[in-house]
Amino acid sequence: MADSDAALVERVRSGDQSAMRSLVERFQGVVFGLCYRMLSQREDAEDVAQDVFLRTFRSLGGWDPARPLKPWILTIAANRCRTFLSTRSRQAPAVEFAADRVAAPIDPDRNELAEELQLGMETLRDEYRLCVTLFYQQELGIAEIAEVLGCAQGTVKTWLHRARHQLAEHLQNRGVLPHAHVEVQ
Amino acid sequence: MPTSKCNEFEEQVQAAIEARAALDLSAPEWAGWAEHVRRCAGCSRQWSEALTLQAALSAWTSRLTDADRVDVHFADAVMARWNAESAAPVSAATDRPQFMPLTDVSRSSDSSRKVATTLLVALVLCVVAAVGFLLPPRLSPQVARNGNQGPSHGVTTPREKVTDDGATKAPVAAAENSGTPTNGAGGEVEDVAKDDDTELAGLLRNAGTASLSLAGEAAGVMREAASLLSVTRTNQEPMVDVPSDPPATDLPTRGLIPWGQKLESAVDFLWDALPLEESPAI
Repeated sequence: MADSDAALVERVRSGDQSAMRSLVERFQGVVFGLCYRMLSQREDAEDVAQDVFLRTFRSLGGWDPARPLKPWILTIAANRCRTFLSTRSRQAPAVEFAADRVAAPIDPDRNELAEELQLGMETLRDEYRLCVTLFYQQELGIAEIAEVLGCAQGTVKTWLHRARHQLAEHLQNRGVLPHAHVEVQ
Repeated sequence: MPTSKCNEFEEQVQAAIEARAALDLSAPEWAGWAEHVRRCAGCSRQWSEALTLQAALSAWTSRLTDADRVDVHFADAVMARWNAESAAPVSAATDRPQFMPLTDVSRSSDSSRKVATTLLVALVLCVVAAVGFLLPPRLSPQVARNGNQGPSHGVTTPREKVTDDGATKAPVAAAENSGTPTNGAGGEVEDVAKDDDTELAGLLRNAGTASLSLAGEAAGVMREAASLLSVTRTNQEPMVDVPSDPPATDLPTRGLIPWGQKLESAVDFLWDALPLEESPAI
């Protein structure tokens, strides 16, 4: 039976390398997923995700066992992503995620829809993108996102609303979102 | 034209999105809205956007391509980096010279500072003494005249007493150096004053010579001390292997560098400022 988060962290604090590996394997999906959605480049996402876990190991002494571990780690991941993005924004832009398909004709199947949305995500502000990723991909609640991002719940709602609006505009400009009224059954 | 019903519909859509509820007008919770959406162009468009966006977001989150999956060796990579970073200080400690504990560093630094401070104080005292000897008699005539009575500078003797004795009490050394013979008995006051001036000039010349030799000797000692400090610093420099991050052992030497430089410059200044013995300045 797998350890609880608190028990796992306790073992990590004692220097148990197998516990460290278990912690990485437990959260690598969500951390890498967030990093990849935020950074859009696999190598960058892997580097940042590794940084996230190294920082997690160093900072575990500050984790409150009374609180869930996943949002705490995601907070570190979000901060690392924002830091990386701010650094990368001063350098040459690097877009890997479906960048070569921007000029391609739209095929509104599910895969293309996902890629179009990812292109729209690239245009969002970092805070908006984090909100959308945490809400839809990580399936965190508004309160949890507010905790991760260190802001008020109302702010998260506003950012989510604006992000959805911008994404809808992007899809519409790309011809994915129909201008005509939807037939309501 | 948006109405209150449109605002209410928008709020309900937002609440459904935040609650991750299904957007289905045929569902019971949307029962009263189908007719409004059908008639209101704005709300119909909003509903259409919400549905399409919902579908796109659903496709986006469920899309798991190979690129999205984390590498199978990801945990190994993390552990390798962790072990490398954890082991880095140990290897560095073995490769680099053994650094002193902070207490030893501070102790060594303190002792070095004491030595440097002592040297500096000695230098200042020598300079003060030299300046005191080299002061022109014009600046302190009374002191100079009192000095004429002998080495007991603190005792003031009335001048008339000198003339009454009929012989000056000039120091033997001053008289010998100056080559000025002592006056005979019963001289006039002007003559005595003239003789005093001559003897005073000789005394001052003698004092200047003495102060020159004293200051020169002090300067030589200080120059030697400063050169010793420089040699010590030069010998310790190869111990520094990381220029950007100086080790703790470099701190005492580094602390002495300004002292040594100050001493060197002070000694050089002293050498340059001191006139030669043959100089007619005095």
